[in-house]
Amino acid sequence: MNIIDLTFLRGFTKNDPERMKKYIGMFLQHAPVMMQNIEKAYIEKNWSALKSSAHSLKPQITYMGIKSGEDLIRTIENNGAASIEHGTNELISQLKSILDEAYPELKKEIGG
Amino acid sequence: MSNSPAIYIVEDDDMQRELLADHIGKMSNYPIKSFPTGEECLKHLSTSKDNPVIIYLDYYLNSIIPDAMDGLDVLVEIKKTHPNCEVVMLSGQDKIEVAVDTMKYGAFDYIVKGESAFYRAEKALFNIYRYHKLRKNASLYKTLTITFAVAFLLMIILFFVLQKSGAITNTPGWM
Repeated sequence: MNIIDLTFLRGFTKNDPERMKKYIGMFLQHAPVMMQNIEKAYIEKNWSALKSSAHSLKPQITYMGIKSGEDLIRTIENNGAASIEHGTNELISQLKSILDEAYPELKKEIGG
Repeated sequence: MSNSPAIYIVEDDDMQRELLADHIGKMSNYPIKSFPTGEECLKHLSTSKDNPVIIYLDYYLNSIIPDAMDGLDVLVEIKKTHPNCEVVMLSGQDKIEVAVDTMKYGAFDYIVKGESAFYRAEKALFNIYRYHKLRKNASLYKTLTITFAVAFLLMIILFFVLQKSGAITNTPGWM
């Protein structure tokens, strides 16, 4: 079963392959950096940075239709806002593995 | 004098900014200008002749640059220099207190980022066009009403002046 669901993006771009490529390309470029920032913020116990990075990644996950990541990123953001350490590391690991599965699917979509 | 209509997007997230500019660009003929920080937007506002019809402004503008101005501060500054410019706030969080706060400082609308955000941004643009048209019509009707009232008053004054001078009497002319 696919991790990604590009129904929104297809509708938004009206199935224009160039526009699809542009947005998926942006996600593939930015998401790993944002994920790294989340991990770094957690290691440094920098809760405001954790909240901020999760906040930025949240809508992008939605636009790429990564449904299984939506609740995780929301909880990570809330944990950052409330400085909650307990369980956050596991959530970050889960999100990372979901994104690691999503990247090849997205690359395949744009023929990469 | 600022007079060039435009649409501004202030958003620190590249993808969100591009998606919104892409969508709104298809709805309007006004040029769209995008800024990654509130500081850049304010600088451009103060130096250009732009008169933005609408500014889509992100609430959290410090995810990339931690000490960047936040959306609420930018909103306050915009309203100081461009009180007629409508600002639509964008946020990743669906919090009523944030929405109320932005409205208190003069925001026209508050949109939560997500799949429906683009439709809502389009709707906000349409509502602003309609609001401005109504305001323009109201101003025109006000001017016309004042003009007619003044003309009517002048006619009454003229009538009394002519009557007093004997140029017109209460007796019909044929008697």
